Amino acid sequence: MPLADEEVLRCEQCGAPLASAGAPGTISGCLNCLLLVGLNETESTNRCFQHYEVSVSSDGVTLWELGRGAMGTTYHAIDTNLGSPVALKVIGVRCSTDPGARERFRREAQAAAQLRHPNVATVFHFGELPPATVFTQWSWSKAKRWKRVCVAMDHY
Amino acid sequence: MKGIPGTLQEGGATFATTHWSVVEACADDETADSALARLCQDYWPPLYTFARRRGNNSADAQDLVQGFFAYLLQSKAYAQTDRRKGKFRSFLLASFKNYMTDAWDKTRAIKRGGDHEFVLLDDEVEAAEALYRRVPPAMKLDDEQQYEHAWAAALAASALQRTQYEFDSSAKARLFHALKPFLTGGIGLPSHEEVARRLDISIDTLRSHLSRLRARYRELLREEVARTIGMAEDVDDELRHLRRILAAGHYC
Repeated sequence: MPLADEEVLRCEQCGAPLASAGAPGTISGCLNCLLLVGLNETESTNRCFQHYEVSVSSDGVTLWELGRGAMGTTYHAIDTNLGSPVALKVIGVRCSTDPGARERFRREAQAAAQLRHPNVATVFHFGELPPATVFTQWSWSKAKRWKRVCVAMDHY
Repeated sequence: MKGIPGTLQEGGATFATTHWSVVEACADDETADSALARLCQDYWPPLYTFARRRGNNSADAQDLVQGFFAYLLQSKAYAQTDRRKGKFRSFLLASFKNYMTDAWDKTRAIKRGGDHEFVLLDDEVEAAEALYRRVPPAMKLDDEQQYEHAWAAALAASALQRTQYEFDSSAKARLFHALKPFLTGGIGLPSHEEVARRLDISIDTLRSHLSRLRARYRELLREEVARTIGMAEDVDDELRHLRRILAAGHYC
């Protein structure tokens, strides 16, 4: 189903705005996707969010998805600077095109960043990637706990 | 080993001699002229979009582009500039802007560039006009950013066309058209299962074909980018820059 935002069509793969129509000699898909394929980062078959890396198989399937909520998806990732495991919550394509949802995502991160408790996952980083991706990096804990966190995201 | 169209493997010398780095390296001989002419032939649509953005109608934009290339080759203006010219994209836009302000009136009648004549075919002009109009309405780009957006589209279109040509010539046209949506993205994308059923192949086989398609497109895109940057430039940096232009338009 087309993703509408102020009557602009957006790519179902990456959320970037699309041209209204193709024409002979022009591309009819998503320019952002077509440029992204050419970047060296895709060679590793891993998906990078700044210095956080999510393992992806060669056919594009994410290998370690911790959970999926209404706002986005949470992955197990590696902080490539420190070599340590982290949890990465990435806003979904549908929400990323909605400025209100992006703002809620930011507020959630700000609120969670204020909390410090051994039983509560802590946010350490809020990041943005063009064209419309926002993500938060959470402290890593056991996957069992993350299932509960992801369920909670659904009700946020 | 099967030859790859447009490369030395096919027996031609078209690809290696049409790099911007060739123009950089030998700015005043016939090889440089031919390399520049070929690059101009392949990458004139972004200049057309720039001329259109500056308020010219389609016919005037075509005249401007044709006149500019003729002027560029006849005057050998490229040989008089700094030998470390950087990217072809930047050189072309800077020269075109100068031409629009200084040389356009004087050379209005010139349409030929020595041995190299630029004839714009109707379908090419139609494609360039579509390129000018294809920037999504949500993106607010200035003239130069739109030029770079058009440049990125021209690079991707060229790589995609070469990929399609290779698949077509090895009797894999049906496979290419079935897998193309996964490469290009967009809307109304089919599922892997749906396409596998249509092609009567397993999911694993489909993913393997898709992986090869992505890898080949990637090689060709990087070759196209490499054609247009200087020897000291990096393909990844150029791709990242072009993606930033898309993002800049998105967040305005």
